[in-house]
Amino acid sequence: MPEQTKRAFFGNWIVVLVLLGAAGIGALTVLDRAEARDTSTREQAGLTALKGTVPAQWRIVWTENPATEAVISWTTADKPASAKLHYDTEARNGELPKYASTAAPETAGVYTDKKIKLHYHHARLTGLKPDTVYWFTIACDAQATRELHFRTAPEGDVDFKFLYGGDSRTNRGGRQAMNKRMRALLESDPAILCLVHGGDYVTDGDEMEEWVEWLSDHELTTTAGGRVLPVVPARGNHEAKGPQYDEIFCTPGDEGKNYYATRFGSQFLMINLNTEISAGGDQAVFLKDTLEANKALRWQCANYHRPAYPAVKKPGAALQHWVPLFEQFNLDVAFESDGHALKRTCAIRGGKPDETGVVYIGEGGLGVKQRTPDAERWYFQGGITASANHVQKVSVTKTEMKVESIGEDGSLLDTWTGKPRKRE
Amino acid sequence: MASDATQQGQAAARTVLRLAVSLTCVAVAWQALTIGGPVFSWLFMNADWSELAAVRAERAGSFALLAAIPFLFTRFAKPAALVVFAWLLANATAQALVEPWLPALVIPAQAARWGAALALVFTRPQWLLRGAIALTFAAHGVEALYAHPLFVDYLIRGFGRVSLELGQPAAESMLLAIGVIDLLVAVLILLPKRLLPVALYMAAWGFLTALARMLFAGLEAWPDALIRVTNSAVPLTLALLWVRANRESGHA
Repeated sequence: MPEQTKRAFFGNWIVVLVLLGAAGIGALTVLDRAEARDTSTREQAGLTALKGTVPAQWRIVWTENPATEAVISWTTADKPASAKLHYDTEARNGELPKYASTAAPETAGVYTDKKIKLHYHHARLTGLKPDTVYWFTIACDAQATRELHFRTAPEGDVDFKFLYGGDSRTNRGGRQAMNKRMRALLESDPAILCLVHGGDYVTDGDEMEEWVEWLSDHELTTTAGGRVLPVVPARGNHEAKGPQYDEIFCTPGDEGKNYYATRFGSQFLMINLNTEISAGGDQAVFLKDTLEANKALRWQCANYHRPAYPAVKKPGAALQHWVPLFEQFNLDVAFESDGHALKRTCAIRGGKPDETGVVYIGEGGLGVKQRTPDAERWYFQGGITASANHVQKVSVTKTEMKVESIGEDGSLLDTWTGKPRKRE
Repeated sequence: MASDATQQGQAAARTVLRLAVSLTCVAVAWQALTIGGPVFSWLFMNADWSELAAVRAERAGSFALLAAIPFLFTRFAKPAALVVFAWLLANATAQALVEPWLPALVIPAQAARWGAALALVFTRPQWLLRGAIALTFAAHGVEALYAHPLFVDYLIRGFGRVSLELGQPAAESMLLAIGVIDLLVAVLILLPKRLLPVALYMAAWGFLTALARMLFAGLEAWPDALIRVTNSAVPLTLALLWVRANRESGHA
């Protein structure tokens, strides 16, 4: 090789190596800074400590039939010799022998993680009475929670409310603030039944360390009087991998699928979909069948993570595979997350504004750092979008469905009201 | 010394590569400037930068890409290609850090992209190009074997466009075959023997799969298709080099 060519060859490689080295050092420095910052924000905020067999991180998971069924789950640091849920329709002030019923965990095990070894417990309650307050205490060995309670969903054609939100990841301070906001809403409005979550609970869904923080922070949604806010979960892209999502929420909607429909009362259906698996395959068949089978209902809504009409990013596969079905069956509202902004689109049909179309609300504001949305997108004419953490309060009556977007400070950011309409 | 025919082949190959890298720059910059790219996402969400600082960093990289394009066709092609390579690799790295679905596959899956830019730095990039396209096909092959949900949806929608109903199990079976073929050609392209049909197959498949993004999501998805232009341009470059070289050795 001529000397000049040789020099040029080695010169190029040196430049490449220097560039790669600089990029690597830069990345490591920033990662290190981010890690240090993360550690410094681990405020416990008076949450129940994970210690021994103390039952902590309680949550209630609702799936298909929240009027008569619920899964009550909790975490312990160590494996208890005995674990039992004591429950009743009367308050018993935590006196275990007085509770009318008990339930042992249907499933229990160790959360999948390389570093952290914690134990999950899921007690499945069936045959519950609709629209009834259930009081319960979780006992593991000699340790027990304070008395907690929740209200089952109604069965008939009655008014009710629920909260909708997504994206509670990455920013722990913001998540805690939004959890406190939800607790305040639950305390001021007992008609709220549950939180429908649009996914992205944590940044790395296969890192238990992050889930531990999310689970502990979820305690902040429990009211001072001990009312627990049940969760109707959907899978987000940050929980796309790993078994932890199923271990935490007791596999809502079957393993590998995680899609299901939740019935509130006799006239409302929430179809919870999974944007992390094929949208156009079996799930589209499920969606069509579910919409078809329930078209006589007054209200039909959908909940999923990646939006069809995003405020920030590009559309997910929902646009191609689900939106035509939403429009065919006149879905009332599609609740979407992922974008880290607040949004409500105009009513859309056939890719155009149309008063008879479907409205898309949400985009994820349960604490995650908010982005500046693209307000110029055509579907925000007659809608709104903004950069603000938020939760939606949805009020359902016989004559209207009202969706109020509420900010972290409790301010009302947006209101949309829909009327019942005919389906195909 | 290389013959005129070989030199013409190399010049044609280099032109294809330069055009492909230029189009990649346009698509990457367009996505970053309109909907935001992975560098922004990582800096803002993971590294805790302010939104403004993250946007500025990504815009700076995007404008650098666009500014580099004319230089790719001048005597300053090598430093310009290095700038493009560095930013494309930074993009791939950031994507790997924010991508929840098989993140380890992101950098190899984009190897044709950043590898094509790097190839412009070298006088004889044949093995670099072979390695890059092998990595891209191997990574996509593994994703196909895992039945990547988007790939399943591409197939279902693609068949739907020609009024053929394809169920999820059938789509997953097809992906199994596609994955095996991808892995096979990834190995074959690395054999010392220059297998022209393999390079041509990879060029055609790379083009078709890039185009699938637009078949799936419509014309609006042109940046998604264009960003993958190197998946066909890199094997096409190899094919151009090999056609001339094979003719040369045939004459000899």
